[in-house]
Amino acid sequence: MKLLDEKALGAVAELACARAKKKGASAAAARIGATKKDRIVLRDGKKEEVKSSIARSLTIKLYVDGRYASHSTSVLDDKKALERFIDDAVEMTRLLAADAKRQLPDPKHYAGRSKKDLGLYVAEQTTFAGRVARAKAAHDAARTAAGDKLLSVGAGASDYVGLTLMRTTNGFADSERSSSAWVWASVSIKDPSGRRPSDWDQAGARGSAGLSADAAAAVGKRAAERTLATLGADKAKTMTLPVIVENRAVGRLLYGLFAPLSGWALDQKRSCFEDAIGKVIASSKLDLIDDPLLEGAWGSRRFDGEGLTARRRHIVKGGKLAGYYLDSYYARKLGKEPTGGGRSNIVFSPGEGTLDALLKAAGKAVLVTNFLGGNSNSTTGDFSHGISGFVIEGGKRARPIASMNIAGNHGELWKTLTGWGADAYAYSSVRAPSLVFAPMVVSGK
Amino acid sequence: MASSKDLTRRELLAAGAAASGALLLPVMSGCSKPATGVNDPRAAALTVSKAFEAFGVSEARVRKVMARALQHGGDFCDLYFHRRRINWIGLEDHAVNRASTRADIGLGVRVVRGVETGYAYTESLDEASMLAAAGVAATVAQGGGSTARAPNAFRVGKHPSYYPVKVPWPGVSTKDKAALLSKLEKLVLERDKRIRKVNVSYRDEDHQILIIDSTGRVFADSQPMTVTYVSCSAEHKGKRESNYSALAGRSGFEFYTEARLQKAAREVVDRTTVLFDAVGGPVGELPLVLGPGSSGILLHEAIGHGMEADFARKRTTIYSDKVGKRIAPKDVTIVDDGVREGLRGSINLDDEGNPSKRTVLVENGVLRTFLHDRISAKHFGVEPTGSGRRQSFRHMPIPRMRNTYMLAGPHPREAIIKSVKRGIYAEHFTNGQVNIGPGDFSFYVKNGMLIEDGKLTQPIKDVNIIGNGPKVLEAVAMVGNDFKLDEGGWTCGKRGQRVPVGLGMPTVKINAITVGGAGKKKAG
Repeated sequence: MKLLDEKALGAVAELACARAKKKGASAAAARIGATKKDRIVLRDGKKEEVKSSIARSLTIKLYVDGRYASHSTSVLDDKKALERFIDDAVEMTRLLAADAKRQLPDPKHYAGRSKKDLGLYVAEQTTFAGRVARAKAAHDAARTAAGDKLLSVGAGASDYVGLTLMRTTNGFADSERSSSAWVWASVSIKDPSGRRPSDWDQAGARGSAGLSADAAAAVGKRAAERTLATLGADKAKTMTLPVIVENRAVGRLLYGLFAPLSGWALDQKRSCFEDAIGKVIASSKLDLIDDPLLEGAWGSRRFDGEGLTARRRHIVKGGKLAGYYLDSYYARKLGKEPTGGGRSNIVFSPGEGTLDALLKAAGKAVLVTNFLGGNSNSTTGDFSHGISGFVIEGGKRARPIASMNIAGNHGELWKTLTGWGADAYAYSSVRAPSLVFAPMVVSGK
Repeated sequence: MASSKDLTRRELLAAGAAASGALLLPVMSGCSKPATGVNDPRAAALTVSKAFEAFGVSEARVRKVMARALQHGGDFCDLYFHRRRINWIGLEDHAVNRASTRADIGLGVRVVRGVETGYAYTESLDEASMLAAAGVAATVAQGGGSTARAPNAFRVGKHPSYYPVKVPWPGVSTKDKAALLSKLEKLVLERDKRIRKVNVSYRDEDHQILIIDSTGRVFADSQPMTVTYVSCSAEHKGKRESNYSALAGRSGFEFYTEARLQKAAREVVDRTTVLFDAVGGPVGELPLVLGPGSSGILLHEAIGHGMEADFARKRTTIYSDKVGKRIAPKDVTIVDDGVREGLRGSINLDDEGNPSKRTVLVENGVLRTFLHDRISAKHFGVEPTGSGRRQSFRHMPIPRMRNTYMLAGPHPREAIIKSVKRGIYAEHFTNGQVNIGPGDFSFYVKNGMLIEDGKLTQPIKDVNIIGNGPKVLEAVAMVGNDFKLDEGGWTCGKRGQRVPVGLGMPTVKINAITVGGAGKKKAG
């Protein structure tokens, strides 16, 4: 079987569903993922890792006598073995307690899928030599930029191609191809203090042609420059200052805002945002849009894991909570319409300026470039995260800091957002700009 | 998708991924026949052909695959056959009404030349697929000037067993497992009437591995695992709180004793309801007293990762040049122990076939040895420590921790707490992370107490603690005599791979560390 063979894999998914019905399932949904990944890592002038894989898996959700379970296997080629797997899966599902809320989604939610080509797939023959060249461009640029402080440089390149295909017994049938090419670099340097700081940078595109040698070299150079900028970083005294979070670090923080919006959290009384639709939870200028139909973006899709039609919608509008993440099961439990249980791309309402412009406008502030650990409590909204970054004075990076911490509550934090840039991060499904928050305590010495 | 985060991110999560706020880890399971003959690693009768038969391969085919892997030369190659069966079931709203299973089989082929690794895997064990994987892994040795060679004669190696199983998973019915979950829920609900919702997430796993390397060594092992994660939400005077407890071990169904279930129920309820009286943590540098058991999370982050020798080889860990030097007071001895019976992080042998060990990282305050896999051991000219672990056949082995803990010291717990004028006591955690190079690390305290004038006074919650590994080890002031192993379901993430690990600790006092509270007087 070829890797991206919609017809053959579709037949496997249909066979799995048909077998499940034959064995007594009232409904079934089969999802197949097929991927090819190739990656190379260079370190200090040598190959460190050469890795390749071709993988396929089938996950079938079964609805048997009002009972539900999901079952996965990587054994797809052997029809007899697959049938045995389904037979056992149906029998296992029968042993669970019934749950009337477990059903396939209403087929009306499958309707109206975008016909647009989302630009997620580029057909091309990627090569080992191409990956080596890309990684080498990043590696060499990082080495040059790091100069005599360098301890070690690692740079990698990967190519990916995959297919997601789904069939359900109530009429869903579709598939989506995707591809990607990435390059990254990680640089470690020696700090006279004994610390060995490191930082990284990356770039990705849907096909390797989207990553030029210059783009790869720029990744290496940035990784080195970012690392060099942290020389001499230390814990500073506890201070209360405006906090600016660099675009690529925002995802970690945003996660704590989104976790309480899940159907599971709402239904299981673990959400600080229960009954909060229409309530002010953020700056009145803030819109957060879940946009699955952005061309080429990392979280784009025409349908979600249940087959629900993906649509652009507001999660926050004018600072008010506008949407939850409800899959069909928790929507049914909560007596609401499903919206899709998973995040796609997160887009912020337009902001202004570059990160440097935000720093300049702030004058004195703390810039967070990386989070280190921490967590948030979806039931109460409380969060606490380690940070590293810079003290900003006179609008400029005055000195690097590390091993400090910020804490607060997601119910309040986003109301203190005073501005954000026009620098949406391009290499994540969280397309966040750099954010500026009103003064908060940054814990240190 | 590959990103540089694979290279830099090291995280420790409680089972059930409390960090994500979601109940489930990517959980799986399945139904495959248990391989006869390899279930008991001490089986004296295990022959090469019998070991190979368990994965349906012949010696001739294995030789052919290895020859392909070494076609361009290379120092070494190994084949890692892996079959796993994972069952997960969940309880929500008083019913055991959800499950997932996963059945996987595959082969990982690795070719090593110096510090360079070629790796490929296949999920099909037919000859063509295995040869294709071997051909891809072989490319790492291309252009090296060395020549192809054949593997040595095969011989089966023996190893002890640190996880004897009384009631193996394949014989346990879903009904019996479901009864366990219901019982646990009942215990939780009975303990406090403020409990609103109880979730139980249960998992059992069987892994069968067969390692064959080009020096002719053949090892087979069967690795059981179980984890149960119970969480609840409670309501009191219009306020809501939630928390979790976990039980984990390499064991069979006999693991779930009445005492363990009672303990898990007591912990989750008490940890949740105490939060109604808790405030946010204080701000700034304070003395920290770590409770016995799971506060070994500090060691995992502050020193454990930094002692993994892949980082030492790349000179990217802050401990690179500290072996043989004093890094902590003399009462501090830290080990990474893979051989304690039944623990989540214990292994009979590592995923390269090297015997598991108890490795002393720090002895009476002096740094002793890194945790080595085959590549780093060869690089440094030392014996491997049995630390080369991998998540599955889809991953290459790298140096990892097993069960990491500090040995008991001389001080009674009461004396340690009494010695603190103003500080915090930390006793329950969700996750941690470290940056190896600078040595900065953090861990998240879910439950703790304020210490005022030598007494535990006010409960605190949801506060991150952040410090620098070497500085914190220097700041260890008192080590308690109440050592305790933790039975929580910890999972460690590194370079895109997750492996089960264990933790342990006596009560320990750290002179100063940064506590990341929100700077408010009263939370909630």
